[in-house]
Amino acid sequence: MGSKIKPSRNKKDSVIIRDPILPNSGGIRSRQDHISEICILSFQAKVKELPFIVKNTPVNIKKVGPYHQILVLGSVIGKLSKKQSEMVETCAFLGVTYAGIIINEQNGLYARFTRIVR
Amino acid sequence: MVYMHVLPGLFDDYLQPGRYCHAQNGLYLPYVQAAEADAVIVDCLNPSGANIVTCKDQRIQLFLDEVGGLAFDTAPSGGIKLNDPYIPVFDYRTIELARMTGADVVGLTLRDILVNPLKIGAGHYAINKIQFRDVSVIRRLCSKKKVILFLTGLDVLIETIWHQRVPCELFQQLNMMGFWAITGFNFSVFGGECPVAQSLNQKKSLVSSMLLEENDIFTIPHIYAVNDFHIRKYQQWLKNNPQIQLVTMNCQMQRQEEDIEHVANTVQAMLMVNSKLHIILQGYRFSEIHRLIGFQDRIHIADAKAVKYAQNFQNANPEILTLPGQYKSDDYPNLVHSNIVYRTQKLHHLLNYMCQ
Repeated sequence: MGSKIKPSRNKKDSVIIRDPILPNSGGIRSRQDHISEICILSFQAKVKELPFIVKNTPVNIKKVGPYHQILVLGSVIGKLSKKQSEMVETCAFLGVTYAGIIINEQNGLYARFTRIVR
Repeated sequence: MVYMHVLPGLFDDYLQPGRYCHAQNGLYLPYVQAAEADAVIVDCLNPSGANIVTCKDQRIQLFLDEVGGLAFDTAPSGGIKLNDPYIPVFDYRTIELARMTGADVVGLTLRDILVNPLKIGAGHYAINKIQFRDVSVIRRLCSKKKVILFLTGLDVLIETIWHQRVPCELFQQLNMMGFWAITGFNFSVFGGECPVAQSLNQKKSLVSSMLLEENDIFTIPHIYAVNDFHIRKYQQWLKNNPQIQLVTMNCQMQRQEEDIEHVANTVQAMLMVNSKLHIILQGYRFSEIHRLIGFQDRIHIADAKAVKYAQNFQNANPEILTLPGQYKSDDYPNLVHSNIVYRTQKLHHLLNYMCQ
């Protein structure tokens, strides 16, 4: 990314620094390595276009059956795919949650989720 | 199960009372001064290990071991000398034009030797896969020109390539491509962040240069200092290693006055140590060259402006008005050529003017 005298990193350019690959590491891997492999940095899912859903509105997710529903103020506005739901669930065990907001794309509204590592 | 999501402050890990950097205890002396911790404004607690490895990362020792500690005790043997003040940086799309340019020395960057390495999804860059370009295409250019590969780019690219350097046989691939010289990796160093992480990335870059040299590749060490402690550390390193007569600094992000001033101060501090030392400033603005008065015969600037302007069908010379539709695709090679000639002459003129 380069360098600067102030901490103004490009938020689009984020990478988990993975453990060095050592010849005799014995296969023990850190939590960060697992997170880097399993929990993608961000993903998005299409949501319904309703009057109260505007850009930057925070969204929640709640597991119902095999899927996670996307909620705004308690209303279901969409759901994650099976693959996304599985990943969110696996990542929760690694201490990773996803923060979501509404974004406006050319073809409609999406909920974009970004990884948060505790 | 409901996961709570609060976005404000998501990326704003700024220091709160009671948090501190381990360097404050003198744990990393003499390589990181305790006073460096005073400048920390971003919490060293970085549980995801995002972009840097800090003093509070439980894996820190693993990373210190990887680079042999924080001491600047490694240096390539030198041997590279450069005359041309201007180095046009091409990309893979213009690699054939690079062969035909009048410049003796040309540049490429890391992403140019990889096949579509990056994708952007849900607002973030990610690595597609690591696949090297056809070695013969790069070799063809390297057989005709002195090609410098600048190992600069996004963190996601640099850090992934570095991590995967052994399985993807990076150094063997680079060796086969036949570059004249390759710079050390430009690992990120940001002021206000953990000084241990800064120091680790500086050392990692020096180690990357050593690894290039071990693989029979001429290397140009990359340096970057964000404070006076760093400047003194690099000065001592240059004093200890007078054989180093060429270093590089990536200046592409420096656009604000204080950043540019800091770069100029750093460059002057480095060049004062060794009268034979030259520096390649990648992406340094021509308009700021006056700040380096007294060192003009040891400054080299590498940038992609000539090529980028041509890609937008624009003339790099601001005195030549480019009308919409004036240039057709057939004009493109000539435009690249004329832009390079213009940039070369412009820099030459500026440097000469400084001598007067």
